[in-house]
Amino acid sequence: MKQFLQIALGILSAIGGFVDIGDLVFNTQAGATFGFELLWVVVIGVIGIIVYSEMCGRVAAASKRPVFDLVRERVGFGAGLSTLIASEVVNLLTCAAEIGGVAIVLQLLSGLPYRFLILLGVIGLVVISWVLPFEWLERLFGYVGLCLLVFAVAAIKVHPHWGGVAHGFVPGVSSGNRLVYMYFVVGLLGAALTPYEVYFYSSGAVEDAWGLKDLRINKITSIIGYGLGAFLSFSLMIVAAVLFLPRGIDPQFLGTPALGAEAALGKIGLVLALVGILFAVGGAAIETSFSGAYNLAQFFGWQWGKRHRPSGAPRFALSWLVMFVLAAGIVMTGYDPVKITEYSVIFSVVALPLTFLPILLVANDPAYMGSNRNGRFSNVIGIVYFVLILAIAVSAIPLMILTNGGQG
Amino acid sequence: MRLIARIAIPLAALLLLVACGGQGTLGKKALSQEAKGIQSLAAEGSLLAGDAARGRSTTVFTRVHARFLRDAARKSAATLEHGGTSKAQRLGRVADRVGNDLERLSRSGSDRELQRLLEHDLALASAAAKRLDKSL
Repeated sequence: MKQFLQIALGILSAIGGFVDIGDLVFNTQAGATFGFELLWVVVIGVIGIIVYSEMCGRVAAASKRPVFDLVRERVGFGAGLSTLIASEVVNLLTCAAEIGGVAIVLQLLSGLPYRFLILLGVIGLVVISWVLPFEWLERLFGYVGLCLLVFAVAAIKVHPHWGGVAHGFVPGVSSGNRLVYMYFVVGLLGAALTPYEVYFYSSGAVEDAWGLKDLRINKITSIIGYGLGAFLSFSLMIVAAVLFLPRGIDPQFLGTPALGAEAALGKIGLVLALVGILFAVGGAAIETSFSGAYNLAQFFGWQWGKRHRPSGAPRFALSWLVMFVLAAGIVMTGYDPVKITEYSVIFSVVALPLTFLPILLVANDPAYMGSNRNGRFSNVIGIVYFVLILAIAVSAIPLMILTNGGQG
Repeated sequence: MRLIARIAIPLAALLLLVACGGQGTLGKKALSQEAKGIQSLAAEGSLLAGDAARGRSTTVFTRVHARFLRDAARKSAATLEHGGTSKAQRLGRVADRVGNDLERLSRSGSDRELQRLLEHDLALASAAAKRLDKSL
């Protein structure tokens, strides 16, 4: 019974924590531009994050060490350092976008000035991160993030053409602007396969002291949690396809997805959507700042983890604090968080091979994994995804330039 | 020295011309992008105004989101102001109208009648921007 409860809570937390600002921006823009045509890309992305998160969790449970700890050991200092730098840049950009998102949603709820709300938001996130233990951080943001399920209700309420929705799950090539279509394919995959999620998941498994007995929980949580979380992405895209595409609305603001929930469900839909977005992006801000600190500490061999008091792991605590401060500094310049999101997602795509190759290598290494190394199925699917990741990593920047960031 | 001046002065004049030309005239693609942007802002504003008129939005959300849309419309209007061609100027006037409507929406509070009017006017502005885009 206790294990069932643990699994259920883990799944709820994974659903609520699935969506971040990248998903909100790219899923809504994709729906408003191509209707249901890109739903299949979300499926591909979610299977990828399930495969690699499961590997990360298994590595952490079997070796009792998180992935980044093993990266340097397995691939050497030079390659490890390249991975570290790329991950930190992407983490910082993503953290900045999420903090900007927090401030915008607070502004849409309160009407107070944006820069004041950046400060308030960061102070709030720092205090929460400092005070709450790791498992409560996950739960608070994951559970309240479940308010985003309002988009699933909105998706039903707007009465989409279900035949068209079903057709959207069949991979195809658009009859519209193909370069823009490809840009959104890359963006949606990048939004689903974010590096910080796997680092955070893996470090979280060590924080929660996972062992071999937890391998089943790892598998179930990653498959069902992320799988159900994908429904939020589908919902965002369906709402945008029905409400925004026919009107020619190109969503460029974080309030636009919330406007979709409002148009479908009225005031209650709007408030639930804003609260859900606030906790989703707030949780992601904490995950990215922690992910940055985890990577640094694990790479340089510092004491790390929320299970230690800040005085017991001072460089780790200082690292996540600095991440928050730098990220807040970036959004304080006034640069649009939605634009930062687009750049952070595209740059994270470029850094994906550096993140996912070491995971694949370590998960397949009997010296670390013993009998829990990848089976044939995991290897085949892991390699197929790695080839896909390489392809999108190579094409991401050219597509962003050629399509003017998806504007055509 | 005279040779340098003979080359440098026409070159500087050419650069100045190119720079002024770049600022003054918007190409067809840039104009079309502006038109699509204005059409989108007006349509989004219309949707927001309609929800506000039916009591389906909060006052704060209407005010703040309308301001975001207004700022984007004004930025577009400022770009089009020196657009050069008559179509750019017509589009600029539509952007101005959208910006003004969104400003009024952001200040509309709970004035349902005004919000209904703005819903209609923004829908018309959206259609006008779409027509201009097609005529490019």
